[in-house]
Amino acid sequence: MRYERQHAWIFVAGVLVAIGCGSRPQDAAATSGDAQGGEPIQLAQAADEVASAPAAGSSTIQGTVKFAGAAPSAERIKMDADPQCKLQHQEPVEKQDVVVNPNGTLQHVFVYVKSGLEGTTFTPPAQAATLDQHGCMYSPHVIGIQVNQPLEITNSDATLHNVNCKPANSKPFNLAQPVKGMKSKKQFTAPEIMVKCVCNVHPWMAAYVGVVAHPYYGVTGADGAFSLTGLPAGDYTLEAWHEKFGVKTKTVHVGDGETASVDFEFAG
Amino acid sequence: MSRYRFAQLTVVITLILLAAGGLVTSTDSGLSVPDWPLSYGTMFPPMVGGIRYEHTHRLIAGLVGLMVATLAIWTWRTDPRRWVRWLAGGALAAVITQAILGGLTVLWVLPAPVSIAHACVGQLVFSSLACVALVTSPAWAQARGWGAAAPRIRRRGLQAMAVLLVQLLLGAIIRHTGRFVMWHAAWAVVVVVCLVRLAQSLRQAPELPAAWRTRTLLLAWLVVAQAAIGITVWRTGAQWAWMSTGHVVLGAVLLASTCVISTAAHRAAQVGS
Repeated sequence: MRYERQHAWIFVAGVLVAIGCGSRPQDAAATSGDAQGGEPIQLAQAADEVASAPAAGSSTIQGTVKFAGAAPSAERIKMDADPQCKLQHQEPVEKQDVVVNPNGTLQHVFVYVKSGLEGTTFTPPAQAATLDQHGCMYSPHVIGIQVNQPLEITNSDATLHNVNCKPANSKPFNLAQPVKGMKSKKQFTAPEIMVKCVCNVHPWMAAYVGVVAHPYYGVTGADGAFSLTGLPAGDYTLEAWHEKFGVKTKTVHVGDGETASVDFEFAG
Repeated sequence: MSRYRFAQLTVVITLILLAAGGLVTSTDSGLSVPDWPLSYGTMFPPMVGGIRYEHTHRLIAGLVGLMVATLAIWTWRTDPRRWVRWLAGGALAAVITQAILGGLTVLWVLPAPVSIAHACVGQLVFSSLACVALVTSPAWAQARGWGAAAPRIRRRGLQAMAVLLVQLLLGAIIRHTGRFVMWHAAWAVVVVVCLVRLAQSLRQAPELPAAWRTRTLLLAWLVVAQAAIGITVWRTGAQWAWMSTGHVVLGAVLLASTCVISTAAHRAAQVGS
């Protein structure tokens, strides 16, 4: 106790100055409020599902993201730094940066309409996208979100996490989530491909958030497929982003009520 | 314990603090504790993952703060030399500034200018404490002249200190932004030249006390080690946290060495004249 009092005394000057400097930037960021426990968590969208969108049209663009070449061997994650993390996994945990599906497609690819929607504004959905920390891993690993749509971040682990998101176009934030069940809500105020979020407590944890101005995006999952529905007829440029393999773009025309197919391919 | 011994101990603990701070940056653990001055709202959070580095750094920083405050008060109350009192008081002011910069680094999510300032002020604190230890030592009171070489050693010491300060700034910019790597590498040549010239002038001073000759040899080896570590860190992309941290720590020792040599040479020049 004596040492604690001494330690606290050292920081008194710093506390006063910090208070004098005003509110913390992350508090000033677009925060919808923090909560602990309480309502049940909205489950994360399936990674390969398209985000819910106002039906601006009746066209669909769908396709798959293929992987060419030999699938690289997945790197195992060492969770020795936190016994709570290690306890949650019976099997070895592998990195999620390159996940090649058995059908030769690639997971965790963010596909979105890069151009073709200029001049149209889209109201962000009130429903939050969700990012969960479970087993000391982010779920999903790659997520899409609309500008100003709430992002609900949850700690489902019996250990503490910090959520350090570093957007270039919105205000960065670094949240403390020391308690299991804790939820925080944040928003990104400008489009950005991609925002990286990390946990500095557990250096293997990383998630990527694609922030776009419209609802036409998707993330490939276990089947490597994506589907962008409710599009107006028109000419579009699609971009596929992968954290290791970079970006690929393709142009496509889709007529009213039609379904167009676009496939991407990344090589290892 | 004498004030000199206490000052020496403070210097050693501060060097450990610099190493702990270097490890925080090298392991990218600076934001593993998002709040400040408490850590996750408590004094002692679970020491897991990156928190081990960040919170250990905070605990050692608290200890150094207490030690520097004690040293400053002790000096202020007992040392008859006004300038020494101000030197110790300045070290305390620098430590307080450093604590505030450290807090702002966390609260403002690692803004590069604040993080760079935090890295630089930390090294300045270490150098100023090394000088406090020097001027409170028995050897300071019993100092004798170094002959005609003293003014030249003082001048070269100050030159080396100035170029090391620039190098320190460039190094801090690299660590917090990844920029100016080539500038840091090129400036290293200037640093080595200045330090070699300083070592030469020390070696060629016939009246230099034996203890300083040993330190000169140590300085020369430190320069070699620092250059080797720097090149290794550069070529390997700073993948080993302990090696990058070692480069930071050795840089701090070199800066403090030039500071101490310049101060001692100034004293020798005064006594000798």
